[in-house]
Amino acid sequence: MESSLKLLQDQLVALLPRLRRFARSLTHHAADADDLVQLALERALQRIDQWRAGTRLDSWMFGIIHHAWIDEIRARRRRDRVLAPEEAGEHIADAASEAPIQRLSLEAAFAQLPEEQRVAVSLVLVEGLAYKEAAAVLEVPIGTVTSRIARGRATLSALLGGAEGAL
Amino acid sequence: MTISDEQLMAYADGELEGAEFVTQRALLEAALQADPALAQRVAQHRLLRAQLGSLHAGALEEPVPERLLAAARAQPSATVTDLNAVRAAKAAAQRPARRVPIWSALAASVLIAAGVGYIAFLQRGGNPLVLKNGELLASAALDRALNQQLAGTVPAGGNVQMGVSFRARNGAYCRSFVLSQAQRAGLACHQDQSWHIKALAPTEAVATSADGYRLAASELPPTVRSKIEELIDGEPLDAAGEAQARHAQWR
Repeated sequence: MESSLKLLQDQLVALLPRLRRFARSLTHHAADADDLVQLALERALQRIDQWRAGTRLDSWMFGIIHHAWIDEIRARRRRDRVLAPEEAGEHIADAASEAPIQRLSLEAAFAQLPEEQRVAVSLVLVEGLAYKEAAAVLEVPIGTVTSRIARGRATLSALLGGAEGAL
Repeated sequence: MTISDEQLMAYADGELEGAEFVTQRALLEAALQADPALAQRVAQHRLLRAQLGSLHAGALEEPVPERLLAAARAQPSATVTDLNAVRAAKAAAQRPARRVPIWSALAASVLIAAGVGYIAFLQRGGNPLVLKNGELLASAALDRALNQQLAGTVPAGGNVQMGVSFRARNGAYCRSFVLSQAQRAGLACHQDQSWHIKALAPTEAVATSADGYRLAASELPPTVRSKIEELIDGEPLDAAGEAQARHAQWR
């Protein structure tokens, strides 16, 4: 009992760099990302009994971080209702139609993706999860993950200006 | 067969590796051989995936903030179901948190936050700590005490008590000390003719104990204690060893 908790916490510590990276994909802000990771760690340890040995700890933590982030987004929306929620989506349309005039850096292009695509792309293409694993983290069907990744990829290729005919 | 971009993408992402995809994969690979445009799209998918691998790579290289290490090692707070779990949680919480191995300028700034200003405020006759090239060094009365004072002796008007002295693994002599007026305990190691402050923490019980000159390690603040445990090579010096080391000017 004691040693299994210790072992799990060792694994959590080893995962911290990747958890921070994933959180940055969500928040685009290093300090916000670390706050998110800290909250997720607290939540994970509160419900440590829900962790099933033999399943992927990284997936479990990604899921907790993602939930915490969704909570945060909702709280932010409540805070500033003035902002149009579709703002991010409009940005993408603009940027995509203006391509290939200006090539964006990878991180700038990534930041333009709509929330759902960004999370799916991050889990699969950055963190290396299989589609099935990402689907489990996001609690959506695998086909949904696949199409989010496909659309995310197409947008990124267009923004980066490197994919003739991919759209 | 018509091949969708999603199929090409799944293939590039290694999603068609399983035995159940043998037929689909064979068909797709045949199509790729026949059509360079398809192969080009797979290559683009792979390229983008490789590019994304470097996204926010800084997070993988930077040192993890101490607060996150502490959060990962924290005692699970809720839903404790039985006594075993309670003991497990307690034991886990009592283990020292993982230490950042590099003695860096960052650590020095933490030490400064731990009370340099406060100590300077309390101490007359010169600040006992100075910052030099990003490193915190003993100065004035503290430097003199580390050089001269033996454990168990405090000169008249002295504010510094010496604790344990020992040899570190790198061969340097280190000594723990208590600044009684400032209520701080610390650890200094002698290198390049200066005493480098390796740990500094507030202390209450130690400073107020009247006869605590040769401090047992257990009386020191945890951060100082764990620093000693990290650095010490073998056992602390006894009184004779301490006097000998002083005679050799801590070299």
